[in-house]
Amino acid sequence: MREINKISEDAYVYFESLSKDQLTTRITPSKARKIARELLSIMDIEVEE
Amino acid sequence: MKISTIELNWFRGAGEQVYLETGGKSVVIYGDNATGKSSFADAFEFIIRKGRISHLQHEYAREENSIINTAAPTGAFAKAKFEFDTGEHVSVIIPNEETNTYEADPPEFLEDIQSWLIAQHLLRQNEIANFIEKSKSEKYSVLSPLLGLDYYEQIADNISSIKNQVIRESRLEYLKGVLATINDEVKTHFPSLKDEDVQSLVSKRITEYDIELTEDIFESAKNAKYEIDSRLSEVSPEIRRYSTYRSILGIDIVEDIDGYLKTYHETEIIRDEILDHKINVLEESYKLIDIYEEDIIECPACGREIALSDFKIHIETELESLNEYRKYKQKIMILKTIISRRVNEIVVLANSDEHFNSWLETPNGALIKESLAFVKDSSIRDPGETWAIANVIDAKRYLGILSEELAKELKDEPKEAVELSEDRDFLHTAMKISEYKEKEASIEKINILQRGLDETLKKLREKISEIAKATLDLISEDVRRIWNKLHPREPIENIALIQSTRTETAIDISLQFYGKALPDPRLTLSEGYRNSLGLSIFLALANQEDSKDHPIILDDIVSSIDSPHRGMILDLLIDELANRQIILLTHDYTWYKRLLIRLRENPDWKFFRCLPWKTPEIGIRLAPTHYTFQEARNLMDNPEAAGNAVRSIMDTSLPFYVQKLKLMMPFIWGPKNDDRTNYEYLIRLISEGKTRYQIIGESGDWEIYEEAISCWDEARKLLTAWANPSSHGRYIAPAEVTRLICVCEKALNYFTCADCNTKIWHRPDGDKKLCRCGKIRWK
Repeated sequence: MREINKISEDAYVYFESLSKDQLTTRITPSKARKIARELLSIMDIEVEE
Repeated sequence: MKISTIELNWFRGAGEQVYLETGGKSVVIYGDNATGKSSFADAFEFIIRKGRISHLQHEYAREENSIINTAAPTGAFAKAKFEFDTGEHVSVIIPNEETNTYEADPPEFLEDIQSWLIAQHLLRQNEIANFIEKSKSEKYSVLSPLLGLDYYEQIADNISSIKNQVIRESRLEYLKGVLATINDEVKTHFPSLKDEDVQSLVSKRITEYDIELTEDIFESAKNAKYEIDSRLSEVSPEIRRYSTYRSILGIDIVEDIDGYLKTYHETEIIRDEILDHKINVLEESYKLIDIYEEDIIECPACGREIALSDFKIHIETELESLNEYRKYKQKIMILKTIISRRVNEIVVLANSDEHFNSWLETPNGALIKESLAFVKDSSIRDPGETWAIANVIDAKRYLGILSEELAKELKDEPKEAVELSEDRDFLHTAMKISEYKEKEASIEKINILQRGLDETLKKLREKISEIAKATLDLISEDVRRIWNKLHPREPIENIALIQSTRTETAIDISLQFYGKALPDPRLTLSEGYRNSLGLSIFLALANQEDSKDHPIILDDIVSSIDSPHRGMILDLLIDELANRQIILLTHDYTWYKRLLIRLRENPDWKFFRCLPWKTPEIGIRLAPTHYTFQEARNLMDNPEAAGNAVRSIMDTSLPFYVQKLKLMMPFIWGPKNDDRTNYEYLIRLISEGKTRYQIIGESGDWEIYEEAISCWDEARKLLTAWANPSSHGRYIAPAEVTRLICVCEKALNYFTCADCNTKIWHRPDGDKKLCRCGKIRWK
């Protein structure tokens, strides 16, 4: 994820915090979608409403 | 930690209540088949596995009443409760209709016990060799939590899932489609999209219209475009529509639709074949490739013998064709995006020019109007829609008519409008470059995010592999040590659990047989060896740090293990698991006797019996120890059962006494060596007792204890005549049983001194054994 850190420190920090807190138990597909959208949004990538 | 009590109410074979008080000791529970002893193992598994019992997996559902005793009164619920010597306890209530209720004290103990791995705590007879017979992936699944890999595997699963959602939510294929569309449009005017090249070309055009150059070149282009529109209107209000003709004509869409139809046609040809057949083949093949150990395998499709390497190549080819299809799918998505963007642009251009719209109402504009109307309502304006092929073909036809008609009209275009229109289109295209760059940057960011997630997954897999190897090495060491205790000096060595060389999520068992490496014990070991290996692996797993002090339950584990190795298992249980609580369930009378002889005086062990099954209402009946003569008397309403109980008392007591007196029994080959009856022991006691069992007589001198010898001989005769046949279903009269009980009880009492009430072996004295007061001795 170091490459991500170069273009979006916020996305890197968000992902690192996820690894510790939320990824150690099984996540549902909707939760995975929420995290994916959050990552894309932090990286200023447009997502559909 | 040790279980101090187990209480079952209407659980499986239990009636209203059955209570097993272990006192924190290891326990042997003996009972014939179907006396309900496995209910204790079931209850243990039910709590740990949150309501699941593996051997009832097809019927554990409440609807089938396999948990609640069928004789439970209406409204009654099943309950299982375990209390531990640490003061903790856990219970589950299983009502008929509602959800199970778990309770624990302290409450966090529930989570603790439910995190225990059943594979480390419970071993059943039918499951001993299971681990060995599982596929490599299944072995990995069983061991993964134990290796501490669950944590990392879970993270890896979650990251994979997030990665898939990133691709989906970012609409990566759509963005690629948009990028391709804009790229096609801009490349005619802008061969290079470098900032300085674009700026140079655009500023050159703009200056011709006296537009001030701003920092944002695209904003300047927009202003210039407005200026051109205004100049076009000034030339003639009608001339504006020629610009619209030109702009619409500049949008080359028919070629894209042809490309779409061609690609769609190509995918249609291979789609059914690939989707319905190849994906299934691939899924099944992938499962198989992991299982195969041999270099030559039987083809799962045609049954021919093929090399595993060929099979792998076949799978790779299949995968290639699937990827080919995937590429077509991506191409279709990109083409749909391009087409819809272009169609929408035509619609916007047509709507934005009122002169053009007025002209459409004239007879000359009728065909163009009809074509535009079709395109406006067509599904091809939305790339997310399913496009009916007939609709795409019609759209292509109408767009063709539109082009032809507009081209005809453009022949009359005033010369003064041509240059303005061309500049207008140029600037319109220039304005798209910023969107192009924005989309390009988004795609790059998405790719970086994907690469980052891939990189994290790769590191996780490396970590998993590292941990697995280290832990497997430790477990293997334990397996080898235990195996060597069970099978000393036997030709199977160097047993190890190893990661498969083919994939890190698979585990192999390797060993050497007469010095030769064997890849798969399933194929070479006998059933007995497989069971021993299974047991060794279970004990090694149970010995791991996380469960080292937990109780373990062994349910009928020796049934398929031969007599010499049973003895070694017993040694193993005593030595290897000395500090663990073992709950050992068995229906094997010979094994039970052996356990009794070895462990009855061990303060860490307790013995229980499940009495013969009567009815579901009565359920499991536990007797606290082996039979007593009083219990035999209580069975007098069933003389055969009483006679059988006496035989059992003598069968289990006499070997113990013979052992205490260190009498040598002749060796009998095979399992019979462990299955001697009271008769053989009594014969030995009588024959040796005639010279060695002595009592101080009235004269004060040592005399042979004739009274005891005579009683033993009488017991021998009665047991032979009445008790042994009664245990085989022959009739025995109540009076005969009464006499049998009386004589046998007296016979065993002759091992105890009537004066000091101690056993004859109480005081060893050289080769001799004496009671405490020295009135009787075994010389």
